[in-house]
Amino acid sequence: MIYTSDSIEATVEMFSALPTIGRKTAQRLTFFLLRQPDEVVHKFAKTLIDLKNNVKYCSICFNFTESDPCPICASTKRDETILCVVEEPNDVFAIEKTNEFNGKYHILHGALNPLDGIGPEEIKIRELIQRLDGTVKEIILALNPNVEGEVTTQYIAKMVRPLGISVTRIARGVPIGTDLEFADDATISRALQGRGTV
Amino acid sequence: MIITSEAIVLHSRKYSDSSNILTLYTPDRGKVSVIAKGSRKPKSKFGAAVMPLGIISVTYYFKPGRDLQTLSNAETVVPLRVIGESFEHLTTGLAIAESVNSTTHPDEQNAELYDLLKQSLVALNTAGQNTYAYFVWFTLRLAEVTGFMIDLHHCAETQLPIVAEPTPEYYFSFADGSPYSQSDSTVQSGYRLTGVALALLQTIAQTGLDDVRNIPVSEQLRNEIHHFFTNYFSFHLERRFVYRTQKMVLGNFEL
Repeated sequence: MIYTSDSIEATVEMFSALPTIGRKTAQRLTFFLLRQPDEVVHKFAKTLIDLKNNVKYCSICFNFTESDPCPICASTKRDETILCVVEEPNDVFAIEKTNEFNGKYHILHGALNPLDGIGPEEIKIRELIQRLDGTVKEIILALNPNVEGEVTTQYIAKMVRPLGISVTRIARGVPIGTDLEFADDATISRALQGRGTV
Repeated sequence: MIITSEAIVLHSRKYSDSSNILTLYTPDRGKVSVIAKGSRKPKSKFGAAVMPLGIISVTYYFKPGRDLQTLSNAETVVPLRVIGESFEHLTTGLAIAESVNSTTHPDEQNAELYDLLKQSLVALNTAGQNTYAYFVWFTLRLAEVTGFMIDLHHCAETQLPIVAEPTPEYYFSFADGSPYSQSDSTVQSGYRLTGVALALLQTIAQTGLDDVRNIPVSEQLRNEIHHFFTNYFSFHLERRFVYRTQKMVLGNFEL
């Protein structure tokens, strides 16, 4: 496609490089920005620059933060003896939304993937082991229920159990609001294995 | 054309927000790539079935000439619960799946290989601690059914029987798929294999799948045998063959 401006073309390119944004949406976003007042566009650009300049990794849990340690790691009200291990920072938001967990987190930034050659050095497993200095009594593994998540779960459990720390994992089963008849065999099977007393 | 078949998931990679691209191995069409749309959504009816190592029944839309077919349905045929819950079983199973994925081409039918793969994964699911021996057993047979047979029991030069002695090393001819006997002093070239490794390979080659569980393989021998297979397949496939699963299967990493 031929654009009448190199700047438009460059902006469309930048937007379409973002996840889930196709070329058509990128074009729509570009023209939307062009129609906005100058101050809105400047604020948008500044926000993006601030985002990149100010946000870094927490040196303890490896979540994104502007202050190091992050507010969760720095909090004295949270239970230091329970550590929830997740794959990505998004997962922390998902768990925090529930208001059910009052411990601390560790973000791995990925999962082990033997088929693609991703091993323990590529994710934050070493840092997790280094955190286990005697304060932590339980590790909750909240990883995705797929093969990568399972390999990571089994690997961490294998590394941590000899340290005398309890290793648990989040339950797997039928999502709330769905019909049982549409759930697949493996999910129902796992749900039955993890059944609880009523 | 709608095709219904049994299949084994060799590889899966994320595609877009909620889909996966799968590499399946089927008895009738060999390796087939399909897109499983929406398989990562919580309400997906086949999300759990389409994970690597799944032995499943699939229905997909097939268009000749296309590299990527569209999956319509998938259901688990044989649940492999033990493999899914042990690090050693999982990594060994994934190494077996990777071997098939790396040594076969798309649409290359090999029903014998499908049966071998299925049989090996089902057996691995009942294995105890010695999971690595299953990988060795499978790889020796994989070489056979893909046309690069390894004959560990006869000399590459004289075709006389060889019973491996633990001490000196043996030279192995990749071109012939056989070792040279030690008494053949004229041969001083080929891939070097310790007598212990050759003896272990011979034992596993002669063992039935049901008895592989009783064969432990030391860490040192795992490394040697893995490198042997890597070099053997590199020679026959005429390209650099690397097991991506190697690091996890052999534990070759430092924390």
